[in-house]
Amino acid sequence: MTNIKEIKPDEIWNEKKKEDLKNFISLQSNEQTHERKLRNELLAIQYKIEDYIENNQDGNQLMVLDFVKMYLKVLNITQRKLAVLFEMKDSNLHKYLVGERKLNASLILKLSSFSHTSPEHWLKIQVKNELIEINKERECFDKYKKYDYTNLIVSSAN
Amino acid sequence: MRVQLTKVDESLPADARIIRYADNLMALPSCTDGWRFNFRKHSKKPAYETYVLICVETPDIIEGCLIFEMKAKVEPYMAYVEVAPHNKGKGKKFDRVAGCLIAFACRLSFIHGENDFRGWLAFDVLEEDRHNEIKLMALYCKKYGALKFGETTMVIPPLAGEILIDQYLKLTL
Repeated sequence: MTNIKEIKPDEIWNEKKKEDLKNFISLQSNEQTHERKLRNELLAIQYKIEDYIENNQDGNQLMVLDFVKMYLKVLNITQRKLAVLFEMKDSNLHKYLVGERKLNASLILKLSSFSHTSPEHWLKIQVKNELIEINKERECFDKYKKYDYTNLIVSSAN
Repeated sequence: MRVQLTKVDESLPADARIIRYADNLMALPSCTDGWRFNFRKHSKKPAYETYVLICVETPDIIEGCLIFEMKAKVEPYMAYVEVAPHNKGKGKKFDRVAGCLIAFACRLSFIHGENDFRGWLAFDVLEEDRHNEIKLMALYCKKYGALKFGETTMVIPPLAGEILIDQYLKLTL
């Protein structure tokens, strides 16, 4: 195998370059429209949702509410205002967002329209959380063994 | 993250994944394997996050490698990116490897970048030959929408990053 001389980026970095690049990006960033800046923030949340859905490791469980809160923060609006927009009672909306009630088609479509993401994103957060719950419960699977259909067959044969 | 490469000889799509490198995975490439960067060594630096691109059919072979860094905890920086030697030049096995890794780094810059830096990805183009460096920078301007800053540094702005993400990483959930 060939042994190639490596060029290291560390060698070209110094405090002045760091500062100059920071200023360059800040300057360029400030030239963006308000819409573009908002889009950057919204995309960041969308990618976080996608990663949460796709990540196989359980890690920290996040509720629908956690992601909704990210949107509310970026858009600078309250959950109460969102409830009004969704034509729901604040307390009722909260029950859905914390997982006390299952998301229904109507609310999923409202969240999708609100966040400019696909309805599947919101449904899959719920499914992912249910799977986490199932996997936790699976650890005490013994208590579910009595539901095995063979028990039913044995008892009816007796 | 699921991505799709193109098998060059058959012009067929190939399912692949970009995964965060952990020590229990395969050995990372280094200069002694014909790679330009010593990923094996650099991956050990605490501030670096290392990712490898592997094909679903051949999970033991690294098709490309990326090291991402958050400079001063807020500025996204692509410290190293390289495609495997067998994916370079005329006889290359897979296409889209570099595009997928750069788009992935852009995506990380949206997730981790803060305030003014959200979605801005900086990186350096370093070649032994200055002429090659200039050629490569021109290619990154054209192909990835990167802006030039100083002698060797480039920055991919959010709009260009979003286009790359859609082009290379579009997920079918």
